[in-house]
Amino acid sequence: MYCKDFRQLLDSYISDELLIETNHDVLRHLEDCGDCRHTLTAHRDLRMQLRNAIVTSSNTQIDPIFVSRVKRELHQQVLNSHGWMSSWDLSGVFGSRVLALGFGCLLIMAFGALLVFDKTNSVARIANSSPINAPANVNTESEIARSVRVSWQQLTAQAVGDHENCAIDHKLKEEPISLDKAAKTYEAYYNGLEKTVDDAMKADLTAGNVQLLESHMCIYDGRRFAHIVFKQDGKVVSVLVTDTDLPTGSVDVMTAKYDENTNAAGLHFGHYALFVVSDLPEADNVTLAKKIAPAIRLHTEKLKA
Amino acid sequence: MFGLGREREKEWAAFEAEALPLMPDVFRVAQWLVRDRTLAEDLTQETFVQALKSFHRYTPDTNCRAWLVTILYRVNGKRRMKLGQLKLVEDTEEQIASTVAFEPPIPQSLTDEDILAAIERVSPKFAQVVLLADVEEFAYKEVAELLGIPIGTVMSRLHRGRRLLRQELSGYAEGFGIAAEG
Repeated sequence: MYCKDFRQLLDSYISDELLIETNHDVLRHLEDCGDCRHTLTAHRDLRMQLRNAIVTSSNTQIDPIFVSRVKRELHQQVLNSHGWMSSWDLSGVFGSRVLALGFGCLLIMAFGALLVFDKTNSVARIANSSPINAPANVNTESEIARSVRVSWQQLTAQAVGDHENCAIDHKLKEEPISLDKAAKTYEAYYNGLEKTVDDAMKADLTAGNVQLLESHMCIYDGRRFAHIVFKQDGKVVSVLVTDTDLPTGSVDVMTAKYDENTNAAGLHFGHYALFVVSDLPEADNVTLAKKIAPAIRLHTEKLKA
Repeated sequence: MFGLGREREKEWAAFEAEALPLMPDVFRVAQWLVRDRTLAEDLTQETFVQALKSFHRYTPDTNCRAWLVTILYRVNGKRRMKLGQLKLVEDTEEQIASTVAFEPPIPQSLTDEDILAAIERVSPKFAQVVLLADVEEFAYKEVAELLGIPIGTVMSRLHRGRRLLRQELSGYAEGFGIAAEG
């Protein structure tokens, strides 16, 4: 080994990243070369000094009050929450306010989340057209409406969870599979869905810069979604289609706001539900959902025929 | 009704023993990642919120620090994505690295402040890998996983980053008449 070779390997040698044989070559060279030993010492010292400077810098010292506050709040979260290990982060809010809002979010989830849905018109329709037979002595309209809305709310939550965990964080438990494979394994409607959605997304030239990123079938929270991911105006947009047992025509377009950025717009037709989830403004998600829905409806109806 | 079950108590105890003591390390990485104390605290807190939720996926007695820093990077990536800051850029560091032919000598007698000032002047993209590998002592493979980039890119960024740091220090030393050593 020459000095030139040693200098190229020097940093990796200090980091202990060389193969054993190369390491031996370096050691043999160092035995005979005083200059390289000197260089090695200088580099090693610099690295040590860099480490000490950073680790002891006042800028990088954590505030002990912050540590105890976070620890206390995390422990409180465990004490307060049923589902502290749940895979879907309902809080979703970035920043130090997250824990303060956490318990409030849970309460909202339990008692008031339905308020975020824009569903005024759908309730009456559900009551008039739903095939569900409710007991005669209860308020039929509100019971059916509530049942559908809760189901829809859960479905929307799953769609948002899929968007966050699959398209944004890439941390689904199960590996997604191609839509072609999903069509062969599960249901025929996955077949050709990417093209249907892509064509519909790009049909309107005023929609801005739309780019298809990927498509697959993924499972989130036990539910299968056809997931087609686009980028529009720099934002990741998930188009999610799933089958559902909700009564046909039971809901209009519903929107849900899940955190300061993420919005979902959902539509239900036949045995399928479509969601558009993204950081785009709420109105844009609704526009996209309405634009894509007819194409998907046609797609699924063709399969039936 | 909301009391801790025995399992949950055990999980919390394990989290408290393995993950929480690493909060200063996570904060240090966060601080160098965003270079803003408030934001670094937010990132650290969110990292531990997420870690607590997924602690059942963590294998005890493995590298908890690497696991937490991975979550930190994911949380920061998500934040940047929401801010529209995450951009796909052409990876040109191989080309850049090859344009730097001069290997500057390492100056002597530098203070911690000189070194901190020098690393702050290095582009964050390169400084980040130097900090992860040389300060936090993550293996190259771990750095590649943390940043979601190929190991070859880690090595070229490290090569470039270390060289830039030495150039900064060399320039500083010359400016103050400190002897350099080759």
